[in-house]
Amino acid sequence: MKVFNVIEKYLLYAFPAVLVCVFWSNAVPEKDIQMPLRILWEILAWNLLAWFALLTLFVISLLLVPSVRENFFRRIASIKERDEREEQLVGIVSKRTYISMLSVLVFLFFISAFSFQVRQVPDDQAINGKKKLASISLNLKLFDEARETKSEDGQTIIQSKDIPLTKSSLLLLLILLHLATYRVFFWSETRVA
Amino acid sequence: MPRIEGKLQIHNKIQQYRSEKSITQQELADEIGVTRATVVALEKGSYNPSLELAFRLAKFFKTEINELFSVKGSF
Repeated sequence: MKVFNVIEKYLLYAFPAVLVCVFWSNAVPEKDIQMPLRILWEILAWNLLAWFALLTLFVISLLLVPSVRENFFRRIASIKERDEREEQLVGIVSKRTYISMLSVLVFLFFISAFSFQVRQVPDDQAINGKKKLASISLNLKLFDEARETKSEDGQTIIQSKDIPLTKSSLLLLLILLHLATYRVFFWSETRVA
Repeated sequence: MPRIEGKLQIHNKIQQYRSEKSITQQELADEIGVTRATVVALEKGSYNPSLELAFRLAKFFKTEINELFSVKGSF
């Protein structure tokens, strides 16, 4: 879609101005910025606001609009399907990527859910004269513990910060999503109309 | 489904036909609607075309598919 191409270009070309605004705001307090630099500051601040709003819209559309995500990620991953041979190659490479990513996710899930510990205990706690103990435990929590944050300036009404899931549950979710999306896409490609 | 042992080796005469026509790989690629890399792969025998592309090649060279492609080995 043309509008998303424009948004993409804006996000890319306006990024240096966003960086300038962020570094400037960290270096100089806002109240110390005087005219005529104040005008430039205002422009950069409005640009930052617009940039962030469009970035939010773009990220949501990447998730929800198939044509936008395909167009964007095709370029990011250099996927070319100009003829049948390239389509076949993309199929083979995608399968390898899919399976290798799945194996990485399973491995990460394994190391995030299990903990292994070897420790030395004092003489009085030795079991059958053995002072070194090895323990394996399963640490599978679904949700992150609530973190209390105190707002310094007034009461927070809405706050979006982090995902309230543990690493293990996030990885498990990704593994299940990987498997489910494959089945859904396979079904949608092969179903008889 | 019956199991087929081994892999069939499919040979083609694309390079020979192209030389007879005195056209470049890029020209052939443009005519049949593929990239030059695909023509290179076809001539090297590292890629077997789809039935549709095989028909397009045969039509372009004004020949039959079984004249352009042959199978080595037994089924």
